[in-house]
Amino acid sequence: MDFTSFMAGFALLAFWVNTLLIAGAGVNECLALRRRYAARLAPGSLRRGTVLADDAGEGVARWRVQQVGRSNGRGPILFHDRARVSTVLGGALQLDDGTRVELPAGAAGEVWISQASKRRAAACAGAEAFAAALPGASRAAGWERGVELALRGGQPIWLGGQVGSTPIVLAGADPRAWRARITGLTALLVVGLLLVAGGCTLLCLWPPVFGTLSKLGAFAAVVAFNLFQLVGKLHHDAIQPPSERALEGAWARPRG
Amino acid sequence: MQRAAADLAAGPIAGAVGTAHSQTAAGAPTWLVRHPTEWRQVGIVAVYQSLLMLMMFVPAARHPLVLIPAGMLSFLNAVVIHNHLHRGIFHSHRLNMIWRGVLSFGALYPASANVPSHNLVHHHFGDDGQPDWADPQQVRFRWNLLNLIHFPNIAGPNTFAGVGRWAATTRQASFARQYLGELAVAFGLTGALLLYDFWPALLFVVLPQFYGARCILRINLIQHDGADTASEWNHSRNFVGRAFNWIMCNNGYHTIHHNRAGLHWSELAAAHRREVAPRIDPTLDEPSMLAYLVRTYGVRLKRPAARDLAAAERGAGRAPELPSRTARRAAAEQAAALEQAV
Repeated sequence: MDFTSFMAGFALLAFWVNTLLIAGAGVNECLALRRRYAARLAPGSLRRGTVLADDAGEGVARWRVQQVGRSNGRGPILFHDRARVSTVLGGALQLDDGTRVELPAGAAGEVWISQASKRRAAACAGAEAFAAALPGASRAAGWERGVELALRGGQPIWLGGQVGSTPIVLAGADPRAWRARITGLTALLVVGLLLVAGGCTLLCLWPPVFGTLSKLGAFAAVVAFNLFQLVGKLHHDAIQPPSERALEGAWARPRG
Repeated sequence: MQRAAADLAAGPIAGAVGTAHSQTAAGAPTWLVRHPTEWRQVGIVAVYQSLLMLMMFVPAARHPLVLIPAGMLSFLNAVVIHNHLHRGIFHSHRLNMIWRGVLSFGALYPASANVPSHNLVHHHFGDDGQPDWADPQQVRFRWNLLNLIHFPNIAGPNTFAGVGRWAATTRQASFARQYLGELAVAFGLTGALLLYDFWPALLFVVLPQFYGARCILRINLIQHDGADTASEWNHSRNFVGRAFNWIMCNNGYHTIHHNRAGLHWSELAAAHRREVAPRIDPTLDEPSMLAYLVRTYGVRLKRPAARDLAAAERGAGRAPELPSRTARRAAAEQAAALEQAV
């Protein structure tokens, strides 16, 4: 074997090592998240109910993200998250099994609200809102804002865990759907990476090795090597629990 | 542009960012470069890129004895990117911008990405309340060697996503043009070599480029894993061997570089001994990087447990005054704008 062939084999090995590491890291993270919530989302521990209306109308729990928006003054305002905080405000839940649960204010808990609801709450209200934010966003310090959503009276709620023991989960939608989603996304990640890497390898080794198809395979492997890293990041971002998942987002400059 | 640079130079940190200028001006005038030691960096890059071309065009040079040094020098090319993006090597602004293109080809990424990713975010271990894009805690394999191998797979996409967002909002109007220019040079030249002769270009040019680019990301893990990034003097691991620092252009002295980013790299060793050594935990002053790597990622399987490293600085005498991290970030932003705009 000459040195060029050896290096080609080495490059393929490095490609596979990194592919397996990205897939492995995705699986590890998914399993760790499933373990973290296993007890709270277990049958018997996870209960459905309705938020009972409170006098102030603030709701029983709130999720808040502090964001900084920045713009160069000519383009959109891009937001990034500074801190995401779940707060149990206190109140009562009527569970479907007939029991009533009192939530003490300040209890340890995570508030899960759907990403779609957060995006709606964070969207630009119109040209006036954009114009008002732009001067601040164009400064070096950026334009700071908070986006808040609450679980209010009359809304369905899922309570995971025992109040007062572990941090509870208060979700506006069935949290088991999140668990199924992260499992599905992780399976998709692993299968997708292995299939693409396998396809690239097959092309690389297609006879005659170092021929035209082999070149195409090697080029595809270089592109895939870089894309896999991005896919790994997207998977990581997508499987975070709703209380911790980044909102970020952008306000586009209104036309006209 | 000239006016913008003048405004920046008149700003509150003008003295800090102008340190290397004034020191050079005080000594003998240097031809072309701002500091005589910069020729070492020029030499590193010249030798590295010559080796790449040698392997590309001379089949007899495709040999481990050429490839291995090329890989090492590729990492040093990225070290030069780091130094050059803190403080341009040349007197001429135009030459500094062209040099960024040359370095970008060597690393197969735009050198200017270092401004947001390293100077503005990593130096302060965070981006407005969010973790550093190269935070060591992002890798969590139990077998520590896998963390070292995998780290660039996390830090790389984090960095480029962050740079993209920063480029879309920065007020440095010429940044995007320069960044795209470097991207075009790096990928254009590499693409041309791939078209000319695919396999030598892939195996003896692209592979060393990737190796260097990934190693410079890995160095973040090596320098900060297990250190206390909340502390002022115990946030980084230093590699203090003399020969190592000669070839690494003093990049082993990482604590002082974080705290005094405006200091020219040739002055780091003395500043480390003066300011850092008295208040750093001795375990963060490693005599040899190779020994550290073998010990941490080769011999032992698990990640070393975190310790209270900041105790060393609490027990030491009064520390030299440092501006807050926010002030240092603002100064870095101003310095980067000055480099970009002059």
